[in-house]
Amino acid sequence: MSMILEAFWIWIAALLTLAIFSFLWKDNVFYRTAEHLYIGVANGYSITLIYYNVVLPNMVYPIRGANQALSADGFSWGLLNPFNDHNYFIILPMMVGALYITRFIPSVSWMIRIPIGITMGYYTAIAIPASFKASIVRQLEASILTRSDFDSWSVVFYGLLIFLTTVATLIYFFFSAEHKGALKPISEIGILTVMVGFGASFGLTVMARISLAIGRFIFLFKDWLGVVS
Amino acid sequence: MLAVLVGSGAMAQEIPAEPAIETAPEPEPIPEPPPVLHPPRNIVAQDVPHDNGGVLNIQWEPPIEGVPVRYVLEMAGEDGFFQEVTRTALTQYTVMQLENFVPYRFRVAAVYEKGQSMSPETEPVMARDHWLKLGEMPVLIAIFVFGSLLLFFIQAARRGVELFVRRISGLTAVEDAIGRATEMGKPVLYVPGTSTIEDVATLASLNILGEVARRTVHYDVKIICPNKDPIVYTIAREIVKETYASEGRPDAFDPDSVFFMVPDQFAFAAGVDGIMVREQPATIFLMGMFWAESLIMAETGASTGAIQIAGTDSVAQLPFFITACDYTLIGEELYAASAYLGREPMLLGTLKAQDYGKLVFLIIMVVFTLISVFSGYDAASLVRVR
Amino acid sequence: MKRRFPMTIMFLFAIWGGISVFVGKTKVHDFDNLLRNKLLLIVGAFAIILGLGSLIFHHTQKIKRKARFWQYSYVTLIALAVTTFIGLGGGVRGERSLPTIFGGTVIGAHDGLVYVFTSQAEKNLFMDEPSRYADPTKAVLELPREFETDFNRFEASQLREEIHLKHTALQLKGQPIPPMISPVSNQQVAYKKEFKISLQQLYEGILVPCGSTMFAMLAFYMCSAAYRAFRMRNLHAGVLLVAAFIVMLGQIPLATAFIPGLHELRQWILDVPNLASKRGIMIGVGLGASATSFKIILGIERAWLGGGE
Repeated sequence: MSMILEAFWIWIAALLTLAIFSFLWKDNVFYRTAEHLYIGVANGYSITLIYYNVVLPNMVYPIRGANQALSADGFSWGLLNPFNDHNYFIILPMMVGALYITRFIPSVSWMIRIPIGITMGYYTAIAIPASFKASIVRQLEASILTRSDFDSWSVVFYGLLIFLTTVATLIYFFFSAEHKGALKPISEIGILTVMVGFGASFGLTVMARISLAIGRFIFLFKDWLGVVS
Repeated sequence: MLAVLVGSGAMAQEIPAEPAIETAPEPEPIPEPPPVLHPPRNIVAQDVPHDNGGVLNIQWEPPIEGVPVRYVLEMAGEDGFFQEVTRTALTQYTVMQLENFVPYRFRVAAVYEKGQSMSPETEPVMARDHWLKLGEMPVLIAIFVFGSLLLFFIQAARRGVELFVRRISGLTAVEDAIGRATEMGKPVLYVPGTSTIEDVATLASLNILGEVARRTVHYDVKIICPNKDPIVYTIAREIVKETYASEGRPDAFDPDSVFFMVPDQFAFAAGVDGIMVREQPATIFLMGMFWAESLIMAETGASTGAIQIAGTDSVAQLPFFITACDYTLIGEELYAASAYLGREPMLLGTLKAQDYGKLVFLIIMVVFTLISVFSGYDAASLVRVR
Repeated sequence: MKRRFPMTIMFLFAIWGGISVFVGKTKVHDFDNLLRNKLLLIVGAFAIILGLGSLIFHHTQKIKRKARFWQYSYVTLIALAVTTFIGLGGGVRGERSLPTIFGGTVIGAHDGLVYVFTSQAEKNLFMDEPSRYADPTKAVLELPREFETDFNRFEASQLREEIHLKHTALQLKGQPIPPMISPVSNQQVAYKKEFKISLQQLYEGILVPCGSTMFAMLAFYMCSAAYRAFRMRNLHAGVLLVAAFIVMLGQIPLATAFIPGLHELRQWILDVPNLASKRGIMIGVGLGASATSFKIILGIERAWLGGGE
């Protein structure tokens, strides 16, 4: 039984693989079916994930536990402490979250902005120090040359070149001035540096993507058809 | 250069050892006396300053004589019993996840092939948390400098000072691209990235969506906006709906134009590909944060003959957009886009602040490099985040 | 009220978020963790109801309007219903922890780096305390190459083991451990009784092949993108292609053996222009992202409130 079941799933997987690959030729009935199936299953799957990873541990269990504690020991302030495993405090964020549903009630639908505002406010605020630290201060620190960078000629060459091309890249992105006069050659060096950098990323990725495609063909020819071992 | 440094360091350690080998030739026939095993010296346990607490740094020096195989660090908490924390070949260890304001004592054993030697205990030390994380100071100062620039230019814009911003080709194309959709009678597809609201790139994309939606209302073009994240979907829908309302066409808003598709990365790419080939949009916007799915969408879009304008700050995906799209907003151009399209003076003020911010950091880079090179002082340490 | 009240609330949460980064007090830190890893997660979970509503509305509308290809909407709706029924009713079979597709798990690898992207929910699985500075959704781990071919089958527990090994190695070298990837105990999701078709089977039989085939199509798309760039015949695209070609060729041992200087040239491209361009872009991006955040917090950019006053 389990053998048949296993073969069944390998067939499904193989047919879906072919159906999706067929899109490279053109949109067709197989791709459309696979795509719609994929979207449906992936949605169902994430509902399950949210249920098990968020709803159960963060909403159901704490309240259920708090109910039990309340009926066993009576009320205590600890039941309102969000740091406790079992508490009623989490009803508050649940009520805030429920404001999302106000969208279906036109007269109060503006209240949807409250959970949106909370989420946006918090994440935009922590993004400021985060981007300053990772993108600016760290890069600045790494860009500053020190005396030891001038110990040998090859290092000077590398270090200085990185320094100057970084400056050129920054200048390319200046919005305040047209790329004219002295800025023209500098910003051109900047964009060329950027393009070489992008080329490097492109080149680095090619191999990994090809190995992925090979992986899929191995699945088709080995796991499904069994023509290669 | 690195090799030279390491080499000289090793030399410095070996020199004192040499005379010891020469002056003490081992007498062969006499049975070995029990070796004297020396313990590690000068154990220092310290609270890491200006942090969240819970962390202590332990350092020690190698024994006077002999090379231990490894060290064993032991720690005693309030109960007074010593327990092993780690075994290491190094002379330093950071103990984490301790209780704040609880005294801990440490000792280190040097383990030799023939036994071990325990150091004396340290004085009790406590991990503390601190109000201000001083290690973050460079970040705080940088934010302060940039924030001031921002407020200055916003004020200047409010006073009506003319602020010049150069042409950004990817953005001047937006108007034409939507105009093209009007002529062809085809929809505009807008993908606000595949990330969540935690990514600022998503927020930037949502701001651009507002500007694009305003133009689609104006030209009376259908907009299609599929979403991967439910929260982003909710905001995107509000933005498009409000834009229709503020442009005086609330009735023209199609509640199905902005929709949630699927939270799975590749399922989303599959679905967007489907829309591209079936709805044949005249113009495609791919704005925000993308991962590997970027090229799947961009190449399919390119094959349909649509005009594609992409924008992302993901350095890894930019090369693919550049090869497959007609226009690509690179990095900060994505963040400049809504200000540029909106042409609102206050928003343009922030663009100016970005430029001057860059200038300030450029000057710091040059000046600090000059200081380091000519004085030998490590100026980079001034901006180091600990 | 309709605009000012949400604005005020947003501003208060922004102040909290901004301040908590610089305050080291444990109480502040603990509350911030609670807010980020629990309370905001609860708030956000409700948005999926809207998402789901939208999805169902989108497809029922299509069926009702008999829009083009409306028949396929049945496929999505039925698949959604069946998967949800199996997932919530049947749970997950087997020993392994729940494979995570929401937001993706291990999505790509090259050059010995495995890229792990995690959603909010998964952050708890992989990282007990994600650093707020290093973007936890973009954690990059160095893992051995053997994981490259089959990441979609990658298991969370395996990953954690690798993280643990990696950390031990870093510790031995005396290097600091990246705060964003610390190992956590193996968290298992509560399982329920076994069904004939389990969610695990749907995952392995449908989601994995579809996902990895979509991913594998990139190999073809990369070729067509390169050809497209080649046809553009402008300097910038040409420079990009040449650099890409050198870097790609330099990865092949046979090529480096026959072409003298190729390896050095590749290394130079990676070390100099590549580094400089990324640095330049990152500084600009940092400023742009911060400016966008400031604009939203200060209420200058208020598209989310529908613009206007």
